[in-house]
Amino acid sequence: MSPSKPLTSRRVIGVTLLLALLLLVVAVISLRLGAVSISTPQVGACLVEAATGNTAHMTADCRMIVLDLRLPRVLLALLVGASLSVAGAGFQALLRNPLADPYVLGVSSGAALGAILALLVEPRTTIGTMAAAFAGALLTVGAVYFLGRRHGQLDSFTLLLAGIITASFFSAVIMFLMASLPGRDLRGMAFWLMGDLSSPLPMRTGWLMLVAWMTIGGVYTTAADLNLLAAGEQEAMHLGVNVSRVKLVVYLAGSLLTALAVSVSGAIGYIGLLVPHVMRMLFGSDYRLLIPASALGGAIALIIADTLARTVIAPTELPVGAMTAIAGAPVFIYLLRRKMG
Amino acid sequence: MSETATPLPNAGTTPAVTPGEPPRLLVEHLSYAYHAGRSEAPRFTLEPVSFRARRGELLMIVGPNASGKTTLLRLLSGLLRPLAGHVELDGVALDRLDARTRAQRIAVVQQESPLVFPMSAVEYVLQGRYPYSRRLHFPSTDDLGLAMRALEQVGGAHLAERWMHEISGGEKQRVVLARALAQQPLLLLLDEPTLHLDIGGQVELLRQLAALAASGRATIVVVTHELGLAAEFADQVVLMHRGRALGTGKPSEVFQEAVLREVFAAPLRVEPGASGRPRILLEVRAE
Repeated sequence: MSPSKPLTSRRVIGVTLLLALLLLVVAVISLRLGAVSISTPQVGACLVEAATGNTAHMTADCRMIVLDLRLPRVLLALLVGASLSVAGAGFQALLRNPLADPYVLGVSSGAALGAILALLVEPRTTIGTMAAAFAGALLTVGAVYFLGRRHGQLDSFTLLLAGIITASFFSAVIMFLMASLPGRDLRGMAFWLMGDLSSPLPMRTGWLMLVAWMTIGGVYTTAADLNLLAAGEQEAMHLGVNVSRVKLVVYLAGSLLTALAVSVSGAIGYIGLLVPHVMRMLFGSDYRLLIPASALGGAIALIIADTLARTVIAPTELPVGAMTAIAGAPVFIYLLRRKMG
Repeated sequence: MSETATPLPNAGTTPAVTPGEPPRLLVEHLSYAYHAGRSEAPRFTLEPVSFRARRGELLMIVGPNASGKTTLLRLLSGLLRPLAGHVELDGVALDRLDARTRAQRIAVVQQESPLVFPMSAVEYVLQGRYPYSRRLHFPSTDDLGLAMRALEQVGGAHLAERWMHEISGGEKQRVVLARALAQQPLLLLLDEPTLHLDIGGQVELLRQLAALAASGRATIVVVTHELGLAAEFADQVVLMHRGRALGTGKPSEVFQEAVLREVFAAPLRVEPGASGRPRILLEVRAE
């Protein structure tokens, strides 16, 4: 593979449009598939009718299956996939570690623990759950960041170990909480922990979308700085990057995106690791392209994974986290071995 | 000692400066202390050091390991805040410059830090244009031209489209230098740039630096423990020992045999060389 030419804004727009088109195709295919299969023209007509508010001729299939069952799930997968991928790409630059990912670092578990604690205290306020998940994510990144230091330097293997141990500790606490509480829906909880997109949304998807895309936009404003930061913190300072500001933005944004994703869908693993990695192989490591490509690629990947999760052994459903782990864990091992090389 | 064949810039402790024009680099009573904890005694101190350098000069900070060379360089880069004293660049105090302006005027070549993600040489050099760009910084044709010219200046034009992780150490060093040149700095700082080069590569790099300095725009400061290179190439040297500057001036003035033996704890001999520069020899057998 020979290096690409320096990045132009035209290339960023081109790749983004291409991936957006692919996302649309994947979304339509996902809307077609399921126990009742619906043709592409029907899906198209249904979406157009819903978008224009022209509900007079809407079929029952359209209203009940496409709009009520499948579309929310596709939108949720899109939101969660984009958030986790951008969070992963951000953490990778922040920690200068290509293996960083909200799940591997234990951030997802931290957010899940926060969300569960909030649910135990006050099960009805969604915003409280999200705030607690955000707090859990922030604390975990902070903790892992400090535990991952050796001789004052961030050491990539110590960091990964710190993340893995933090994750298993939080999982144990979550198990303890779940087991000691009578009358809870254990199977539902276990599904949620594994990462699951089938639970009904606690709040309007529109609002979540807005927050997620604004946060991703926030990360994107630091794209040029992240390129330099990934090449070395001190060197970035020498080149005039306001390193502490950039780190703070990415740290907060990455935690918020993880918390959003976890509070609506549990701890879905490896998306934040796998997607930025594939995007780097396809389009190079420049963050000005990597961030939009990861956002769209993450959405595409999770829609595919979720469609598989609900169709491979239908009528039984798998948690989508199981699908992403089956694909992601081998890649993680491969990357780890190549890095140790 | 004889005078040099080509007239050297006056590089004594107090070089002549055109009246009214501030020196390019002015360092006055600069000191620093490193504390491990707030209440502990400092682990390392840099005692007040003063020197100045003119435009186009090649100044080398020389000393054994842990003598404070790198600390001094980091103070000059503005990354470290001094305990007391100050640094001026063309008459402007360093601490009055924001990070971006500082990066337009000072470029630093550090001991290498590994790249986490693959990057081509020209992309790397383009990073040098960052301090001149707006937020997302898509390189303009001017930026690309400057990056290519910087690569040409270091004899690395052929490397432009190679991956950084696939080129040799010496080639990488050139690309890193090209990135610093792409910053179009007034002051170019290099920390042990010869560390991973063989003797041929070292001489070639120093030749390049001397030529760059002589071509006029930047003042170049190099930290090194290579006495021989300093004696041969520096217009001015600062000799560091245990956090103190023992001497500042031309190599012929500063490199005194007794002092060097003491500082480096090695059987060194200093001879006047043919060009008026001292030659430093290692004499283990003669002891």
